[in-house]
Parts: sequence; structure tokens; C-alpha cells
Amino acid sequence: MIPPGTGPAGTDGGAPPIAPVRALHRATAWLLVAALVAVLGFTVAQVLDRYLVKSAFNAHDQYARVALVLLTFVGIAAGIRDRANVRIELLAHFASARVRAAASVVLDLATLAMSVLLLVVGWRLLEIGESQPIMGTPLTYRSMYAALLAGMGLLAVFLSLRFVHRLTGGRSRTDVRTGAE
Amino acid sequence: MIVALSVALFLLLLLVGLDVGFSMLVAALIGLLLHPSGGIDPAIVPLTLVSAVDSEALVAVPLFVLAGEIMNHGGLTKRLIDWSMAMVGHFRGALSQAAMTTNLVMAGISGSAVSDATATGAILIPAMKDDGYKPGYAAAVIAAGAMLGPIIPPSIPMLVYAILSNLSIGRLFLAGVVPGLLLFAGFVVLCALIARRRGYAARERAPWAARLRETRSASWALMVPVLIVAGIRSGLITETEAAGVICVYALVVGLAIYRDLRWRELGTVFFGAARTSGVILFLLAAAGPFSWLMSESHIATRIAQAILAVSADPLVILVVVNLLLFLVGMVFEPLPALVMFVPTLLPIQAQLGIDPIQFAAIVVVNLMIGMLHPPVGLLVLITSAIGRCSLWSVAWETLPFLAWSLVVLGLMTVFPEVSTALPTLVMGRGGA
Repeated sequence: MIPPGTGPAGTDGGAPPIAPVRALHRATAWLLVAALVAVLGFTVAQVLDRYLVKSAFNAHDQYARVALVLLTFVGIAAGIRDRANVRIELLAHFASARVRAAASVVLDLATLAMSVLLLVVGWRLLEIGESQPIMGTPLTYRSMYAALLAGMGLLAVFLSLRFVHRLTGGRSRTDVRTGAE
Repeated sequence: MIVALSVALFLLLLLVGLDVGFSMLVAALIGLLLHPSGGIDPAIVPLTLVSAVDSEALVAVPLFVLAGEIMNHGGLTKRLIDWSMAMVGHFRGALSQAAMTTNLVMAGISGSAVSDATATGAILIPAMKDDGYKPGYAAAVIAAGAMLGPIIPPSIPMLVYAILSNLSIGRLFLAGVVPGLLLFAGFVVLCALIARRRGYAARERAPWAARLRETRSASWALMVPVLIVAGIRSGLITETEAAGVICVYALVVGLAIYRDLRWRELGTVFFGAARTSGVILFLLAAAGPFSWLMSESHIATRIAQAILAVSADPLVILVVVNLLLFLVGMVFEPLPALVMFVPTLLPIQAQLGIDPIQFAAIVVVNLMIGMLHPPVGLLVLITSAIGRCSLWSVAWETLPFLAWSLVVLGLMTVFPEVSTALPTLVMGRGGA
């Protein structure tokens, strides 16, 4: 089990990922930070608005919810990429390194398949969400489903890059971990 | 049958090491595809994934995680540890007592056991090992102390329960105070007894001047729980807003008063909190499709009927519910377990006239106890990773704390006042 919040990307002592991958990681990090800042900003703004500003704007919580959904799905993509997600590694206590490596490939494949499946079946929801307005905002539920798709899309890309990394024996430097697993 | 198959598949995927959330998703999807009604549209999976986290109250979750992260980087946690050492360091097993006291105060701020265990464990487990404590015991002390986090307010699981059951978040938060303090009292006694048997040292008693100095230094951190309670109780801010206000407060203290936090570190702090929040919230989201499958299969009604058939005595039913939840806690993380099982249990509570606040407190404390025992005892797993010691040594050393937790759970079950007296005293009788 790797505790969430520990083990930042690319700090395991190996060579850093190539520039395009680093740029993708940086963009993901900024997206996550922006989502959390939005959650915090809208929540605190609601208090300030109530006692100080007293504006007519009353959709702080709705925007905070949209940011929360984005945070959830992009956050899990970053968590799995950095191996900071919640998982039970009982196998690691008993299995040999070779079995662990094989299991790691199979598990990544299962996660990749699930994220691609969610992308495919979730795509339809964009159209459905278009007709569901989020009260008090110009947004619709399309933005919520788009947040899910963005997270699953990122996850599929991260896992694909990990496979490329494995297949090239680490020479492609497309994953946060560059040594043999 | 389909649900049983899904649960079995979930367990298998969990044990081979698939992400907990994705294990639930895969199992739920297979259950949906094999459903006797001829297969259900898989679009229900993304639909329920989003709806499970589309909640205004859940906005508090990332904010409490962020508050904990800012405290760790902003020097608040370190000052709390120094303060605890000054206050209780002269008792036997000084570091274990300080760990428990720090976790008690942290519990009043962060609301997340994972944050508390990571923050205090990183500092105190190595310190305890250096002081001659058994590594497994050092990790077990942190695991038990961190369990207080989601029981003493603010509490993310209480928040989730309140959303699921439409109960007052404020009342539920208060319901955790007395059980949390009872757990803490038992834990410090256990630490003292174990320290006496194993010869873990006490530190020299800190002079009053030093205690005063540490209290002054930690006062900004110590004030946080007071601010939260005062803010919510006065009606000036909601529970969610309190989480946001505490983040701003911790930022100001870390940046301008303690000055341990640098502006250039803020990106790292926010990123760490955002990623951890995503991981926690995804557990809740992934429970959505599984919960939908259970509801569609009417499994909830059957479980409720089976439990109610055991007896008409509320106390007996509470014992049965406790046993069921203890088994559930062995397999599921607390948050997904709440999403999946609370809708099943609420009709039982209503039918037997059990106090909803007592019932809620029992459910949450029981599932939190699940974090202390294998195979899915998250706190045991985290602290064994931080302490670099075997999972089984931590699980073994956790047993005395686990036993006391079960005693407190028993008291809560037999005496409703343990959880209901404080909410009634502070907020009066009336609606839940």
C-alpha cells in the first residue's frame, strides 16, 4: 500500500521523463491545482459574499461542485500514474519479483481497459448532459461528464505511456518510474 | 447470486492488488452485464460514478485534506507534536503518549485518518524506533491514534453518512466527541501499561515555563478545533464553509505567522492535497455503480429482512448489525462501505425506533475499527509502509487497541447516551 499523498512523480532516482511527457504531467498538475483552488475559492467566496460583498451571485456551490467532480477524476488519474492510489499489496508480501512484475502488467491492462470502456460508454452522456442545466450557472451536466471523460482519458494516456516505457525497457522515458519494476 | 459473484470478484481483484476503486468498478460492471434482466446498459456506470460525488457537502472533503496538508507543511503539526511532548512527555512511553495526544488534536482539524497517519507517522514512527520501541508497536500507536481522526469532528465519514441519511451534520459531528475521547483515554492507558512492561522511557517533566512557551507557540494550531466548533455552532458558517475557512486560516498561519511555509511550496501543497482528494473521492464515486447494483438486485431488502428476522429487540439487532459491519470492515474501505450499506441499514434503524444519531455513530465507529485490522486495514497498511516494518507485526501490536475499540463500540451499543448526550446538550432535542 502506498499512502496517498506520498511519493511524488519522477522522484525515484531514475532519469526524468521526456519533455512532452513532463509537459503533460505539468499540465495535469496545474489542472488539479486549479480545480482545488476553485473549490476553495468558491467556498470561501460564499462566506465573504454573505457577510461583506452581498452580491446577487448565488451559484458558488454549483461551481464548487463542478470543480469537485473534475478534481475526483483527474485526481485518480494522477494518483494511479504516481502509484499513490489505494491498493492492497498482499501479493507483494508473498510473490517473487517476476510474479509481481507480471501481475503489475495485468493489473495495468485491466485498469486501462476499464478507463477506455468508461470513455466509450461515457461519451454518449455528453449529449444527454447538454439538456441538463446546472441551476444558476450557464453550465450543463455536460461539464460534469466531460470531467469524467477528461480523467479517464488522462488515465488511459498515462497507462499507455507506462506500457511504452516497459516495452522499450525504460529507454523511451515515458513513465514516472524508469527502473525495472 | 449476481451480487455474491460481484463481491467475490471484487475481493479477488482487491487481493491481487488492483486499485480499490477500479476493483469495485470491474466487479459492478460484470454484475450489470450478467444481470438476470438480460444485461443493463453499461452507461449506468459513468452515470452513477458522477452522481456519487456530485454533492455540495462533499466539497468539504478536499478542503479538510488541504487543511491537513497545509498544517504539515506550515509547521502547525510539528508545533503540536512539540506541545504534546511538553505536556505528556513525562509519562511512561513519552513518545507514544505524545503521538496519541497529537493525533487527538489533529483529529479536531483534518477529519481524515489517512492525512493524520501520514503526517504524524512520518515524524513520530522514526522517533519511536530510535527510542527503542518495537517498529511494529510504533506503527500500531500511530494507526490507533489516527483512527480518532474520522471519529472526532470534523469527520469525512460522518459527513458522508449525513448526506446518505439526511441527518444534521452538526449533530453527527458532536456524536463522535465522547466515543472519541473514550477511545483516546483507553489508548493512553494502554500506552502506559505497555511502556511499563517493555521499559519504554519517560522524558523529564518539562518545567511550567517550557510548557507555557510550547502552548503559546502551538496556540495557533490549538485554536483550530475551537474555531471550527464556534463557527458552525454560531450558525455563521456551514460545515463545508468551515473547511474552507480553516484552509485560509492555516495558510495565513503557515505563511505569515510561523513562516514555515514558503510561497513557492504552495503548488506542491495544493497538488499533494488535490491528488489525495482525488484518490479518496474516487473511492466514493466507484461505490456508486456497486451500490446501484445492490439496490437493483433488492439485496438491501433481503439483508434488512434477514437481520430483522433475528429478533425484535433493538439491542440484539444492534449487536447483529455490529457483527455484520465488522465483517464488512474486513473487506471494504469505510467510505465505499458507507455508500453501499447505509441505505440497507437505515430501514432497520427506522423500523426498530433506534436513535438515528446513536445508529450513525455506531456504524461510523465500527467501520473505522475496520481500518485497524487486516486484510484491508488501511491504517495498518499505511503505517507499516511509513515505518518500513512487516504488516503482520503492526497488525499484532494493534490488537490491544483493537480490543479497547471494541469495548467502546459495545458501550455505544448498550448506552445510547455515549453518542447522543452531547448533541442533545449542545443542540437540544428535536429533529435529527
